[in-house]
Amino acid sequence: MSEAPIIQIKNVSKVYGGSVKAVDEVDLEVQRGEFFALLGPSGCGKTTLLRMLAGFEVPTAGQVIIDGHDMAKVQPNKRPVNMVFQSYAVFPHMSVEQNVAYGLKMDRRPSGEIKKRVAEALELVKLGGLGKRMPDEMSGGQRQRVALARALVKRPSVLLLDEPLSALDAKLREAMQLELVRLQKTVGITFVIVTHDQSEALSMANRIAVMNQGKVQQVAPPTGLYETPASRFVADFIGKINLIDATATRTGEGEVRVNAPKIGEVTLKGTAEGKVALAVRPEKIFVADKQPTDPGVIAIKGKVGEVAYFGSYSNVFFDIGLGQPLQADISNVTSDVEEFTFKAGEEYWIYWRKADTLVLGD
Amino acid sequence: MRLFRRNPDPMGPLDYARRFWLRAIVTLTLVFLYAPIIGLMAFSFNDSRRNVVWRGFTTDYYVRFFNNDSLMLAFGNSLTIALMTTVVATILGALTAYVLWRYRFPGKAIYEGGMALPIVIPEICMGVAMMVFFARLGWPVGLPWPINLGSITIAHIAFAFPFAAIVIRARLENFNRELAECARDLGASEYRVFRDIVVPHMKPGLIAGALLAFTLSLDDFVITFFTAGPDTVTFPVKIYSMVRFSVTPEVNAASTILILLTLVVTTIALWLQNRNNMIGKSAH
Repeated sequence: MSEAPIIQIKNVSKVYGGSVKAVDEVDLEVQRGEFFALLGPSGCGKTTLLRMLAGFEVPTAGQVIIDGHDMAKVQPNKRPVNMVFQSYAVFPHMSVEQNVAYGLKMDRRPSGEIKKRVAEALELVKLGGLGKRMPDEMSGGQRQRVALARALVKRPSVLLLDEPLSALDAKLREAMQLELVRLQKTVGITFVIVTHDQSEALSMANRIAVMNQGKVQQVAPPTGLYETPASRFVADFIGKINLIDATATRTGEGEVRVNAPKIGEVTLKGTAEGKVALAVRPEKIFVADKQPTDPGVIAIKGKVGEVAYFGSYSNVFFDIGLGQPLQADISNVTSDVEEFTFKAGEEYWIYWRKADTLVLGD
Repeated sequence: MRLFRRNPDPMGPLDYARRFWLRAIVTLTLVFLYAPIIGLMAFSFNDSRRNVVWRGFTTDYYVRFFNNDSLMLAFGNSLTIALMTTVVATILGALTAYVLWRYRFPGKAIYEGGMALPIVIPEICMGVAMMVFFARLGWPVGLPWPINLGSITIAHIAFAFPFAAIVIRARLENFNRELAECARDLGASEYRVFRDIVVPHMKPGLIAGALLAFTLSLDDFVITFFTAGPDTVTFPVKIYSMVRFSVTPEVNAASTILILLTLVVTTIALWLQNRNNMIGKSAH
């Protein structure tokens, strides 16, 4: 993208009560038209960051620039952003139409235009014909659509979404994920979504910033975040992963020699040194009866422990003589139950490609 | 009477309503609560100067009540004071409640406690204090109606608005702040947020607060007694002075009208509040 980023967050901190750092020297850029996710455990500062974009929190230090303008002195009602709140915040004493029209009324648009745009917005979120309803006559999912229409009708530069799906049941949540992606493509507005649900972020966003304790840990597209996490925290937070404590020394450009218990010494791609974690995703692990001969893999012997059956795959825990077991997701590729069933106590060779092994620092 | 009849079913552990003592207590409470009021209303139709023996039905005393100029003047005074008090106390109470709910400022706790003081201070002390205060100020007397009711009205507002403030504050407590933030996000100024979002939410509280202020003012005796002048007699004070001579059915009639008036106002207010609650139900 050649244009300037729509959001620039420069060295922003938010300190509460003089000592609690909710947001700690964050630098972020969001490009025009992106679906950007702020992901992290509760209390990591993601919501505070979003509220600083909306103008409800003032940064203790740093600069927030939206669409080329410094937002330091701009009140929430004058910002080119709109927000979908966690509780949806649909005004209970106004009809759906009045809710959606409220923002345009505040902008003093002519009533003809308001009427037309409200109808369009309701059509966009598939609530056409329900304009006269009162909020207490609608379901949670419908109320959320009202909140979406109400924010989008103002054609903001950026739409902010604060945990928008957390109050919906599982089925509706999945449908809404697809719906949000469709909406974002239709209107072409930049979306910034806050979520603690990694699958939500992975499935919807173009890029994700993972936050922990007020700091941004990594900013990457979903695949980058999952396949090449930058730190132990990110690897552990996104999906399942096996982590084996090890030590590493640098041996060349982007290459380290790792010494791990039971595995021995291996040379791997990576940059982390000293105390590291050797990491491998469960679905990248294979199981064999005989020791594999391929020099490109790491192989160790393990005993079958717990097995959890998930239909399309089984999550098998192998005891490899370390404190914690190694878990592997084995695809159940045949319908012959006998063939894929693992029995506790059986010994196997388990192996994975060196190329799939990550060396992670803290 | 059902109260003393044995129910053939065995009593369950939570069947408190079937215990004799509980029924007795409830019955006695109701008797002492309502018997005097019902008696008072019944005897307002008694065809007798003395208020002891039933001598037949008459509406004479209502006619007399409406023809008693000094009683009607007192009634008018009371209504005027109550209406002015209601309007001012509700507005003041709403603003106080809003400030206490919305903002953080040094000394907030002291301010909040100080505001509630008129509720806990004995009324007689408030009355004496008000009397001394207005005397010290040299508050003019003998002004034309209704300006002569000013001192009583001010006293009533002073003791009634904290009640309104507390009721409205309680209503604000379950306001979803995201609603206000959302309105702000959609382009509303602080004032528009207050007008469009906060006030509609406060409405049931406003109605309840206004009702409270109205009834507190209408039947206040102690504070009014100390702040009233010879030409600014209110309804309760007038009834008191009539009772000092003798309890005539005319007093009963006057009281009955006061009761009916408060009942009607309360019913309207409760009905309005219920209707509003139905609308406000989905606030969260």
